Amino acid sequence: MKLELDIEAKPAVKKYYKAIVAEVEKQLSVAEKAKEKGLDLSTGIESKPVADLADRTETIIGPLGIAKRYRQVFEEKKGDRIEAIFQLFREILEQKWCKIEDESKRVEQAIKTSLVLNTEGVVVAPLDGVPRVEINKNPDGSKYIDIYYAGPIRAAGGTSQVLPLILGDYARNILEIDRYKPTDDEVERYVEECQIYDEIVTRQYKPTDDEVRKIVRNCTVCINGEPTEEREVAVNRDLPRIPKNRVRGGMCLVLSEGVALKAPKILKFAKKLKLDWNWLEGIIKVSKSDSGERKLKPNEKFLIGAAAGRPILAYPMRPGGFRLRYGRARNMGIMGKGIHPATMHILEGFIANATQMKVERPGKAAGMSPVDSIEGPIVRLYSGSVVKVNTLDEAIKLKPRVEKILFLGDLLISVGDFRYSAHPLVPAGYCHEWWIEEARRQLGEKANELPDPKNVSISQAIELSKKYHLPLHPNALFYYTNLEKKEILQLAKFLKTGKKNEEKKGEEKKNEKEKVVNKESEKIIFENDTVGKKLLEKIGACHELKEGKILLDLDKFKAMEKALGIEKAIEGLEKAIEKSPNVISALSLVAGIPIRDLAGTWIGARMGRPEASKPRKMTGNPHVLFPIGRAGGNIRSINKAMTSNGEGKEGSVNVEIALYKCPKCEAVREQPFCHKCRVRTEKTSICPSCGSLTKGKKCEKCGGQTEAFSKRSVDLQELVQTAVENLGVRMPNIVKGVKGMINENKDAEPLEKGILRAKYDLHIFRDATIRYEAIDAPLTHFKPEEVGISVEKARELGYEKDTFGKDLLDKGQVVEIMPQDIVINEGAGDFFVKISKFIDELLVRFYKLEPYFNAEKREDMIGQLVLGLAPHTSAAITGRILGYTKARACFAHPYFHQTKRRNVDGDQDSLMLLMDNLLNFSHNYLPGSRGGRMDASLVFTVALKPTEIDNECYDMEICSEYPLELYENAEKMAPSDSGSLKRIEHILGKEGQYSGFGFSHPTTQFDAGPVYSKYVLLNTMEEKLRAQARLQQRIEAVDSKDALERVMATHLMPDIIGNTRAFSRQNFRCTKCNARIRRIPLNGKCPKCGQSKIILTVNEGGVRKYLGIAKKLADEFELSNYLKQRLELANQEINSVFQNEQPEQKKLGEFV
Amino acid sequence: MQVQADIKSEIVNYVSEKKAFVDEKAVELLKSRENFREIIDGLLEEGIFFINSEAVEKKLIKTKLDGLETKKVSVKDKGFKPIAKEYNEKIRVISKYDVTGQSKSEGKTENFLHYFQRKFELLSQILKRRQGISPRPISRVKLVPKGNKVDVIGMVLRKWITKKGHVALELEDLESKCIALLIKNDVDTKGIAERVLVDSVIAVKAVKWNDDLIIIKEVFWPDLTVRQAKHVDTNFTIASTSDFHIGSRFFLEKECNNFINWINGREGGEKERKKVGRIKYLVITGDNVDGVGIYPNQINELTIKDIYKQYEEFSRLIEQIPDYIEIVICPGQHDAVRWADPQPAIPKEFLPELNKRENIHFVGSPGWIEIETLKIMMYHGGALHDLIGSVGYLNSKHPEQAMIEVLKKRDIMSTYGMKQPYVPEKEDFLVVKEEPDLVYIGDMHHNAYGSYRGTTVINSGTWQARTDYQVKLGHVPTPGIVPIYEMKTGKISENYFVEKKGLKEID
Repeated sequence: MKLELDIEAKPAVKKYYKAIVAEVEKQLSVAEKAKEKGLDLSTGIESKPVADLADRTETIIGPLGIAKRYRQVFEEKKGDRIEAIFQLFREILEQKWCKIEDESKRVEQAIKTSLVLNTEGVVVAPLDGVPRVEINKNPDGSKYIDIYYAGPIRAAGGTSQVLPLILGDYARNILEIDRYKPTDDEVERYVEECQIYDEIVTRQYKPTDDEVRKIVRNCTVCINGEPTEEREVAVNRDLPRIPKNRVRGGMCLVLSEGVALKAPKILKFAKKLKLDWNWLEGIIKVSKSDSGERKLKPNEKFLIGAAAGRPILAYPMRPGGFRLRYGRARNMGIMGKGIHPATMHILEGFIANATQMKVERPGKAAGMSPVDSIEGPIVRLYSGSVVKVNTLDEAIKLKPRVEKILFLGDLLISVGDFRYSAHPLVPAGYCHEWWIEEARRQLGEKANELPDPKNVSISQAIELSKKYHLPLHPNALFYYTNLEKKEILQLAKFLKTGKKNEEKKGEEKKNEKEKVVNKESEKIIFENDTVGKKLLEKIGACHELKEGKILLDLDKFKAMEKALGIEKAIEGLEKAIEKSPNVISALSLVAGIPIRDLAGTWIGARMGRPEASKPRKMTGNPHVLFPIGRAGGNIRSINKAMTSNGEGKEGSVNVEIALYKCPKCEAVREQPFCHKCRVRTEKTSICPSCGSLTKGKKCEKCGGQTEAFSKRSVDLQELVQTAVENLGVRMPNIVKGVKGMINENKDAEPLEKGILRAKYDLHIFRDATIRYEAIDAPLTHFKPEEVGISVEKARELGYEKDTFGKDLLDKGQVVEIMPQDIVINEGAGDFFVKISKFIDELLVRFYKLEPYFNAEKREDMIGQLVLGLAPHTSAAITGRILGYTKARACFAHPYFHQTKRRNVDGDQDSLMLLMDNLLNFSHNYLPGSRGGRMDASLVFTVALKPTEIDNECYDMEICSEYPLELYENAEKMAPSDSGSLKRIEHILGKEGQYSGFGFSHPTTQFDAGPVYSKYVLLNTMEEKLRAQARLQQRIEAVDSKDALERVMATHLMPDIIGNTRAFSRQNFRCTKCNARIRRIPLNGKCPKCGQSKIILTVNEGGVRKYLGIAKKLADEFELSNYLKQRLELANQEINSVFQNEQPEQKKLGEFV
Repeated sequence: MQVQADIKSEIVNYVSEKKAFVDEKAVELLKSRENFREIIDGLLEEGIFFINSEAVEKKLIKTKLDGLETKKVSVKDKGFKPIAKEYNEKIRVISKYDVTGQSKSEGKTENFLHYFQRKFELLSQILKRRQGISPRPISRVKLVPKGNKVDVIGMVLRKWITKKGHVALELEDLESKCIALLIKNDVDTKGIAERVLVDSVIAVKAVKWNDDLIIIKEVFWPDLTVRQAKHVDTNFTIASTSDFHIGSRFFLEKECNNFINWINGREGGEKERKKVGRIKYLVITGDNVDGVGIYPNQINELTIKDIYKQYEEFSRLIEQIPDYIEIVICPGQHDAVRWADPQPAIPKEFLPELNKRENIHFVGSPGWIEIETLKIMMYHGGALHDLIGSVGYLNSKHPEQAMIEVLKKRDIMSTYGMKQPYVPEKEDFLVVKEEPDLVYIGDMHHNAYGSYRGTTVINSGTWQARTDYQVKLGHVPTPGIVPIYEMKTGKISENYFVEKKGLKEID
């Protein structure tokens, strides 16, 4: 197969893409040859390579010709995708270049095509989320457009949820169709359903009853839906225009999260199309005025849903939490944020590389990356000394001695994250990159003479401020704003009690080590005054505690004296404090130089989901999609099924399986290939009522609906025998099949594939591909040494220059990553080696071709192609393995992730080997049910186009420095889209759109810090909870009792109480056949298999599981009485259910 | 000094006679007032039973003002002489039908098996006594020739709608199973399908179709026998109430005080007080306190966040009810007992004071008592929610209809495995083993009354105002209404304590 490459890029990137395309073509030709052998369901490749969005759309949904026309219109509209979509929508309806007779079919096609185009041709929602669009009749006989939503619409995002409504209204205008006229009963039905739905599902927003009425009455098209929930409505039943009495989840979702929340967006669309949706203005939720003074308030939202074992790291806006710093390191992307690797380690390793954190600002979740050029934590040791931890090594050394974490350090966030979240900018803590910008503005050219802003010593800082009247450099600042006004005075008084370290000098000689230390910096000595020490801790001033004395470095002391203006008397400070509105202005006044706030904004955070990198598993872990019913036992062993004679003939299984007929020997076969005659078989159908075999969908004899499969006895022993002989291998000890097929025709895989997979211990997903799952992590630049490749290898892969344009000669040079190269966990590398071996054997032994990979170790897989695929989507992206990391994530360019419609907020996606997908994937294995086509690579993109990926990442800045304007805007809390930073959106469609990214903060190693989150390393929930409680106690910015109670209230209590109640309404399970039984039958026997081995699904152990831990924790950490009483009551309830009250004992008890 | 001390003790005695409380400071204020009795009576009339200095001060000012206008403060004759006080109670707790002290579940598979088998045994015994059917074991259906009539008793294991729209029931007895069809358009069995719930035990008259398939012609429930309502020749009455939810911020304290005043004969005219004086029994059907941690974030809706303090407050309330009235109390889901049915009585440790008193009786839910030869079943009502959710014509505004449905089934348990949990006890306390004369329920916060085949069903309402949760559900409760049942006539009268409506005179 020949692939076209049409991209706008710099020569090096073009060359890279040519290599990728060539490799894809090579693999396609091998796969085509294999498929031509006719051993598979299809004789061609089923997962199609696509060039662009237009191609993806045409392949996924059609209509024919859309790809060509879209490219034209997109050009005409100068790259405005939404304009292009509206234009095409109209064209389809007006049948400009494609004919669809039926009017409602035409509307359906137009809406679905538009939706696919709007969701980058990646999300499956249009296929399954809007299953059908109809034109129906109002009671008065007029026509209206009826849009049916289904569950998968959830994955489409708010905007895509409401687009069909706008388009429906537009179609109404074009085709002159009347509006939907709801009856009163129907309106109340919507209200009732929304109420019930709210009980079932927690949503972002629940519209009020009147809002629901308003929406239903005013929306010109009908927001209909398929029943998705078990629950039925009680009152407004049996309405002819609404299918069934069950709750329509898709409809409820669109009504609340779509219409109610996305009202501004709808209005924007409506305006473009000149449609009147002004009635929506009454229910617009977010319309805060931009004027007026802004005040930042703590936002507790991120704390909701705090989970057991995942600690809260900082309370909202609590001093000592994370300090905001603007910037982007090379291992950060949209939503991906950075903290110091030392912070990761000091936090007991709960936050590892790529672990998700829920953050207070700008909101939502974020994957964490280590950045060592920002501030690390400040800790108090058991000795009482306070230390700043500057490197990961220091953190590792110090951690056992840490008593309290006073400051967590910086949280590096890109301005793009604020833009994307539509959060106003908030003040940053004063940092050297801000300082240098101020210096530049003030000094102009002369600023170049300043020392390296990162390494300004305290004495230099004071001197520079004196000399140029520059703001005091952050290195000479402390967190003064953590103190109240009166505390500032207390601090000043305390500082006055300090004495120079003269006596100490005499003692020095005794201790050689101390001598060295003291030579470096002189100390000021204080009596260990509790208040004074506390103040030093609060402002983050490091000091030693030795023999009952506080030792403060002389230069730090000087810096404080300067900032507080107390070189002489403190009266000036007293007056300034009195006069000034806040601490900062008072200090600036007395210091005589500008003093900035080192703190800026404190940001709260808690741990989200842990990082992950592991093979994906499907229930039962099958090796092959071949049905064996119950014969294989609980583990679905084909080996066992072969020897059982429980189902008729020995070695046979009785299963539902596809019907094929061999044209030569006339025998009924399970596969499209007859192994006896070595020819392709013909697809056959059977009439379930008369049993005659036929080809069509209708029975020739009786006219009944035929089925493409039948339940029949299959000689498994013989099939396995043939397969083993065909392959020339021994049957592995265990090959696992499946209980039954879930696809429409009950098509199964050739057993040979399973035998070979079992040989390499590889399991499949339901589409017959082998998947590896890893959390998404961003990487825009790398050093060859970091990913374990040599300079030669890097050059071979197309990396000839480093990011500064110099020739790549050293493996420590920083290189910009190619957009589709990925760095994966070493384990994933080993896993792919196993898959490659399986595929090589498959090619040789099954398809009788040459091996392709010949890989022995993971290094051999570097340069090989994989596919990345996000859940709920059906378009994959080609990736190339660049190298390996110990971190448990898949690192790639933000473009790569965004092509899957993912940012890096801590989601995990699948990776598969391209060749595996080409050879083994088939549409026919996918279930016919709603949502069945999700999670399968129906198409894959060979070369991504930045203009056709999720536009979230367009907000990401790619500059290396921030202008002063940014910090000033942030001080004013200006909207985040104010100011100008170079962003991805500025380079789209240009030659340089793939390359030339900058980053503001360097980091030594992109994957430094803990590899496994502590959460993952601990096994039991008790261990996790204890570790969490201990860490929370240790962090100054956490209210540890409240934190633990939150977890208990949201996690442990519902579990304990829920399980107790679940016990007394539980289902049962048959241990023999694994059937789930609603209620134990009166004869005590399984209704499926007749055995009497029935067990509980909820037992006493499960009910008591967390009670003990919860009680212990409640006592140990002295939690509230309310919680303790709840636990005690739960305990009594459990005893009441599980303990036999012997009457004799009770009597005894009464007398005692 | 001596004189003063005498006045003080006189005040205290007078107050305690009125079943109220007075604190030290109030006594100080009152001792100098000759008319302290008037003042106290006035306070009591306003529903103030914790007489503190603040209340007294207010009253003194108010009396002054009142006096300036018209001398309106008329003190009624407080000689309330309830005839019930002179009467010996006839009440007995039927503990064999009560799980309290006999919970024997150990939470094993066998417990569940035995439980359902026992239920089947009990209900099929009742069914077998019915006229007009001659049931056979289901295993014999096979032997019946096609087209012949056959009667069976079975528990419904599954219920589904066939492709052709008939309702199919899988019926089982202890040995065997069969499929029974309710034909879609059969006039005789129309409307029955909805009422036959999964896990109901029924008897059917049917026609054999083939193999294990029978066509239902008629369905029989265990049901009550047709009886006349039983009346007792006594002047005394049973009052009932329910769902106090003490501790909830929605608890109607003032209205509840009105009720206490009333039952102490401090309200209303002569006729009213005479009526009150005939109350000999008070039945309370659960949710006595709001509990702790009953639903998520309940803590925000509690004024008393301590379960022991909630019960202390409840005790204080009940202690104000005259002690000649026999009080029976069962638990609800909010009480400090297990949530699952059957619920045992509230443990003594929570109510030490009330447990000391002889006129107060604690039973489980369901619990059985006998008053003046009337057999009375008390049940809080948890299982009724599932029943109401499953049967289209039932709704929570008419809990009495749901309870009547229970009486027809003779089983409180609705379908197993839905919202309501059931503990698999050795004995089935949920089967309605005897035919009760009176059934008291609560839980729905809705006063309701009904009768069926000689059994009267009463839902006794609540003292909790409409909660946010109820607003969400669109449920409108009827708080502050206390029904009285006349044992002689079977008549029920309602007494209103909600502010706007005032006291409603019922004769």
